[in-house]
Amino acid sequence: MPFVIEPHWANWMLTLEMFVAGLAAGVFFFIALANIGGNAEDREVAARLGFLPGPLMVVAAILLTVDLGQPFRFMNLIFTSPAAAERPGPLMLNPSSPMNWGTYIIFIFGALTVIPFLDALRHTGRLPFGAVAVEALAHNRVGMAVASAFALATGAYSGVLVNVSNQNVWADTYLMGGLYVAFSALGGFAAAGIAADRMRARQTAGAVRSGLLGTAAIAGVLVALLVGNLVALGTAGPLIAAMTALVAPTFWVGAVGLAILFPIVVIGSGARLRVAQLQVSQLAVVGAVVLLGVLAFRWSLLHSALAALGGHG
Amino acid sequence: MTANAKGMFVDTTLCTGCKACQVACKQWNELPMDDEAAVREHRAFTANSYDNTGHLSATNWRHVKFVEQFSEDRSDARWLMMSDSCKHCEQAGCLEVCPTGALYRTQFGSVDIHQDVCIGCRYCVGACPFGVIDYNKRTGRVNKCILCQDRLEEGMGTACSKSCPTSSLTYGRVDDLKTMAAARVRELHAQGKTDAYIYGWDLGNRGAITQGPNKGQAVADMEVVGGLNVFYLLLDKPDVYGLPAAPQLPQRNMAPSAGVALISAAVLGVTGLAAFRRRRMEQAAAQAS
Repeated sequence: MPFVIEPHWANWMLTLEMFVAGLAAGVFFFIALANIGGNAEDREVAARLGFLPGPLMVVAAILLTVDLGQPFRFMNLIFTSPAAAERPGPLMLNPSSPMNWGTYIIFIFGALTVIPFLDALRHTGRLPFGAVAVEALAHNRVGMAVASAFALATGAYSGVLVNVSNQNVWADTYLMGGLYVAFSALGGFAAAGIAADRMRARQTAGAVRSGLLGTAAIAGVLVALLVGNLVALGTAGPLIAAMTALVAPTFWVGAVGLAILFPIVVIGSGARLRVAQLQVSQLAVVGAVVLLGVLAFRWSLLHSALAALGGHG
Repeated sequence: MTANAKGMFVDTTLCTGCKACQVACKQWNELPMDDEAAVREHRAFTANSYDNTGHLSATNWRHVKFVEQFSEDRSDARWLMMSDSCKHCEQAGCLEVCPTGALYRTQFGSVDIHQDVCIGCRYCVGACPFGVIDYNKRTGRVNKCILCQDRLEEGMGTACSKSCPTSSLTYGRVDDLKTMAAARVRELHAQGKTDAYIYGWDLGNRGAITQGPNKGQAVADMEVVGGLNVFYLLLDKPDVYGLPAAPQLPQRNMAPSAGVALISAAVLGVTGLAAFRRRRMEQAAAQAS
């Protein structure tokens, strides 16, 4: 019997927000990797991808704010409202609330996305000032490693958020944070694959293929653990069979099939895919399919709890 | 527990299902109907015994539940009724996850909401293990029973308990209420009603169900989520009344989930760097050959 009632979120908006923020985090993660361990061509691709995380985070922030019942009070997440007299200090921090931690993480990560954006401008000759400083920041390995930690934390945040609830499926496992960050990284490599393909960066494409394979394998292990965990608890029903909001089909076909199995099979077997008229080759096709799978993952996991509710408790 | 905490003892054996408490709650708190048109057009019938609201919601802070139990041949029956509301948990899931400080612990130990602070994020809705707190689409904020905070500040009891004609709802100091509840369970056990036990605090009572589908099963007092300031005397398993058998705080998942995320992120980082390293080594090998 469900004891928790439906929170009435605008689910399409939340799905999109989680997808967009996760993609921003994943792309930033790839940019950091390219700057830490890549060569000149990798950094070229990374610089082009630098245009993505900032605007994506702006879109995510808008979606998050619009979905609030009181959007104009969103600053109450950061600054303690004078009316909340029980809370000490000017900054709002409830350490037991993942949403509070997440707000700060997203805020910091959002600020950090300015660096690759400026670097992308510099790379395309559109940055009128501070080019040297931007280059030093964007290519600083330690700095990018620290920044990528915030990117990965942003990718994991929504997963931890849904884990820390009493909603069916979400709260039945500890794996949500791991799954969300793995699918963020998958999205990042998928976007990098498309960029590498369009820029005809063959060396980068090689690294992206390896990265996609490894990341898909990690996501696959986590999904297997999730399903095993839920089956053991007897709560796998929504993910296995729920047709509410097409949870089961989007999970198995989208998240498992498109995001995990497709890249493993295609890249692993070295299959040649080419959409000739569009001049798009294997890696870009895999990237686009994986992105669709990542979106399906966000949709199915978000709706799994609601599919399990089936009414008020 | 908050010193001198105030709360309510809900003795379901005394509830007649009159719903005076529901009406008093609606009236004192000026809560509107959920769907006026549905009532006018006779569409509001729940078809569930005499239940007229179905569940707690943003505009129904109190709900009288009706549980009808019949034997297989319908020769034996019993009717369980329970006036439900927010439990004002000692460890409140809603309060724990609130990211703005809108939910807070009052001087009476109850959990209230600063309506002018709530941003309508609805995180508390999914965090409450009892399905109590609800989102109000009209105001964009959340609502639930606030234990008549305004009345308590004036030294008055809760509106629902004042209106209860059978003393099924009793307002008072939680410590006093626990003493009262223990005595009431002992009294019922002495009468042969060994079904009686307390949901919310462990006062040491043990018994067995004497009627209904769960007849013969053992029952015992249950302390849940650190104790409930609004607690219940029940005659059957908690899930019969729509109460969770083992409610938990959402925070139980926080450290393990963050830990799994951290390990996953570390593995992803190493995998990502390894992808670039592998490519570099392949290039080096190709150049060497």
